[in-house]
Amino acid sequence: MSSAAALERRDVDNEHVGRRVERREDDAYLRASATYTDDIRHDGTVQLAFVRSSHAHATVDEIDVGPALAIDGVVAAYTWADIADSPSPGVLPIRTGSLERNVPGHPVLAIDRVRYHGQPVAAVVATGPYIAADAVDAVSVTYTPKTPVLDPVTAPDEDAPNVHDGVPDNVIARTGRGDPTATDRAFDCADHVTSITLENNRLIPNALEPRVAQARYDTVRDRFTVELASQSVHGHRRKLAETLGVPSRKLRVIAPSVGGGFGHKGHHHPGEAMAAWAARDLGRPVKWTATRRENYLEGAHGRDHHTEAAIALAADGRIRGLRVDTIANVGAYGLGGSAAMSGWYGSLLSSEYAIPAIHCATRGVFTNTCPIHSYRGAGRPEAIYVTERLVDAAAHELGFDPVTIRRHNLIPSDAFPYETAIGTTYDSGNYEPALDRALDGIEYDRLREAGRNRADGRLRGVGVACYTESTGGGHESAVVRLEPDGHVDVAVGTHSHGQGHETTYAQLVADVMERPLANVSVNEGDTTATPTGTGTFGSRSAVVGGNAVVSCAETVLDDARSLAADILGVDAVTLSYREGHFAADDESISLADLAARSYAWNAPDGVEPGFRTATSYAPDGTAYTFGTHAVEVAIEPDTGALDIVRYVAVDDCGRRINPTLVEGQVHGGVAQGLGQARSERTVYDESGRLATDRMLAYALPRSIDVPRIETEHTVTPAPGNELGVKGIGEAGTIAAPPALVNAVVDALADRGVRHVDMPVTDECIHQTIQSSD
Amino acid sequence: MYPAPFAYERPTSLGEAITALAADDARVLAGGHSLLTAVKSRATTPGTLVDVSELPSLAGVDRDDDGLWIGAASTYAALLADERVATVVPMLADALASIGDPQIRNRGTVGGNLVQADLGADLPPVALVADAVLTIHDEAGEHQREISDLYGEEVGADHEPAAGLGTSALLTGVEFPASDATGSAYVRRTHPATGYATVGVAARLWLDGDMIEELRLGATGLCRRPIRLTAVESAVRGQSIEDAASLATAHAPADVTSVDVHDDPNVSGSFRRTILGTVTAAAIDRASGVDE
Repeated sequence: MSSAAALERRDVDNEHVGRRVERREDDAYLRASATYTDDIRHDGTVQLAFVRSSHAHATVDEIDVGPALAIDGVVAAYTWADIADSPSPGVLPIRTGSLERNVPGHPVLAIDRVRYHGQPVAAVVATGPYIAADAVDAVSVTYTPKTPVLDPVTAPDEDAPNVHDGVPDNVIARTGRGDPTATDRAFDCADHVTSITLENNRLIPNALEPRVAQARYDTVRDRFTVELASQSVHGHRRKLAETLGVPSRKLRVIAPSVGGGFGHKGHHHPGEAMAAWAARDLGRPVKWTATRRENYLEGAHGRDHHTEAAIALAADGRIRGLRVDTIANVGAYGLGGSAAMSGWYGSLLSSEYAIPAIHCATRGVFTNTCPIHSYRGAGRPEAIYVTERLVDAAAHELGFDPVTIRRHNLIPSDAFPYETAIGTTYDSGNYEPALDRALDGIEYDRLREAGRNRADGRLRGVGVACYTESTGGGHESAVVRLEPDGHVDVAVGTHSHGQGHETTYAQLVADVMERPLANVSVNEGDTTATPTGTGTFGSRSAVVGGNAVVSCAETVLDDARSLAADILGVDAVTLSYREGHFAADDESISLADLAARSYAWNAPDGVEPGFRTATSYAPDGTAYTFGTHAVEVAIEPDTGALDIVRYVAVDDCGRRINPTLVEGQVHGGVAQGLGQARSERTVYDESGRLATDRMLAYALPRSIDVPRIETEHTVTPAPGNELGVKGIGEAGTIAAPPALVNAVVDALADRGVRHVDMPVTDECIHQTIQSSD
Repeated sequence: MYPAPFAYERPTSLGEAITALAADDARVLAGGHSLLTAVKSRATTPGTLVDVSELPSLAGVDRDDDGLWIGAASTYAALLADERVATVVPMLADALASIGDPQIRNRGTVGGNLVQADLGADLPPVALVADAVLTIHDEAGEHQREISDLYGEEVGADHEPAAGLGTSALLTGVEFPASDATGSAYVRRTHPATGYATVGVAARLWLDGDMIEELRLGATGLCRRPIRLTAVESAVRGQSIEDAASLATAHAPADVTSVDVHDDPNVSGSFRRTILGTVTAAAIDRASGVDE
């Protein structure tokens, strides 16, 4: 029986899938009994800490580690010279395939030159974190400052200094997507063109748990074990192997409980590499724990796009074309594929609309700032923000209601699969019901009728943003087997750091095998548990990992069925299966019995112990989540004080495995999206030092800043995977920024305001009002 | 986030505490919400932390005809739970309720807030408007000081306590004298990053019918000390409560013309100046409706 059919059947009386099953992992988190990397104790562990650059751009003339080594308890101090003398490359891998030039990756310690404030220059190792911090203070570094490149927009100018000597214009990636000729033609024939200049503000990820790693080196077996806060242990193993210059098989990477990822724990950073390098050098366990401030300094940061865009329309509001020119800040170094990231950011520029011609030109530029990499959404929020702002701006200019123009251009539900003009193929969609539900939810017609002036003197605005989200890329590895007592053991190459996989994967397997949840355990975060693995990012786990575990569980059940048929002497197809028992006529045999027999010395040939099944699952194409978010705001004109009156999110992620967890993802995503839209501002001062380097200076949204989020949903199953699921992890970060900015601009529209850049703080709103009066 | 080495004392008597405070670079540790973050980031490196949590009778509330006495180590939460605070000094209850989150209210102390006087701290303008009297212990014994003595022209360097307290001195209590005012209130706008007040204003007023007979205003968030808004006070004095809002908005800029208003990456000094009038008007409005 195929998976789809099996699940179709189970749709009728699912015990677990589709239900609000409580998260099984929360007890440990809420009682603080979960073990995070920093909690792990190995005998003889020493602490590594970094001396970091106080300059944005400088040559390193001299590093004196002598005073640090003189401190009692300091075990070692390293500079690049030590790395250069070792068998390790000591440079984080960079994917240069699609780049303009070959440039070096991020060195674990600076090689004669620092390129951003906070770059690691030297490392000290001490018997404990306090002494290590004293040792960091004791190291003296002499710099000759160079002029930093701070503004990505002017970085390509001829007179701008160079971040890297081999890149004279600081442009490391240049990409064109879509059809420039068709787009030009669309603009030539258009009745109306709306242009916009906008910035997608630089963000600093703030997981509750900063990055951390512990490394041990087994001298006898020449093997590393690295425990770290990671979203992808297999990914980290591959990258660590490159930085250390050893084969992957020499590394075991483990991610225990991880307190939030948001992308920045999927990247490879100097900390874990230095810890592993020093563990081998010293022959003892080495631990590195970033402080909160180090997490700010060395990110990686997210977003930081600077865009000129235009949309061409016919007089009736039909969109003819979209043209986008973006400068994407790469920061000082490419990390993995980060420098090429700007190349694929345009994939979602069509949003939910049938746009016949799109062209997107991007330039990724180096600056003397912290490297930029993927942050929850990773290119998708940047793209959707451009289109959703442009559509609103065009509606205002043409005198259409922003919803009318959206509805007029939606890709019709019978057009899927739909290839957009930028070259992505949307698998499925039914956009209008989600739009309608969001409008009903926010009471759009009533708000429009009530107008912009509230009785209390404040200005009312309502904003709507539609979005699409690409989810579920790549393949995922899973292994399912029965313990001898029939308990189901599931191992997956993804990693849960808040997502709740221990619950959702167990729900899936429990339903396939008709076993109670308590009989299913889920293991992630260990490179020895699955043969390969990709990890958790890009809203992929339910799509790729979910289908992988279901496929394995079904094979396990089929193999158990074959053994049951053998034992009972009947044809396998005549066996019924219910809640852990195969039965034929009067005879039955339990799954536990079968499991025990599969492990026995006299098990029949071809029977795997525990019916162990491994798979590497890849869905048939990308699953496109979509939806509409709507927000109502009220603005006090004298001070710009903004109140988010209501927020309605309608998301379609196909079949929902656990509605509570889906809503949790939406809540968290919207909170982060509103943080970007309302308050999060990353500031480098004129000398290139990070001014917003701590929570007291970087305005994360607090609980009181986040409104009640009203969630609704529609269900359009994904055709490309058996479960029909789509990812939901990033939807909120994509939809919330344009929805909020659209609402603010709407509130101020009577004053001639056409755009405000994020973060839309009270001060920013006040200034906008002042300059429009 | 690892402090430099420091000595730690936990005296059990006032005498021991004063002796301990005589050590080089000694700092009083009360709730620790300002001090410990600065110590952990090595922004300040005290020689000795003198923990006052074991000192007897440093916490508590007492009310008599003269006013309300508050032990310096009383936490915000303890004071919010004591209804005498809101009854005698409503603006103090307003200010306490606007501080932080439950964890901060459970740890932070009145004495720490007044002495540290962080930018945007909520209690200093309230104490200033109330003419609070400080009880201070030092090597010379116990004496009383006006709250205005604490905040001179400059409060102190970043992360340092108010200079007016003197060295080796311990604030043990604060008295809010009884007042015959009609009402008082504290209103703030919250800073998006720090959670302190971007601008906060304490107002106490005396009404005769609709006429404002007398008015005292104190503001926080503008610079590293609370300031009185005397220009607004004299403009509003003798005027109708109906006109107070527009007068406050019009005259508030005059109160900060010579003040070097704080700028930070999230809120500019110019915006702080801009909203001062609106926050002041809101504080006056609220004070007119809250009986003292």
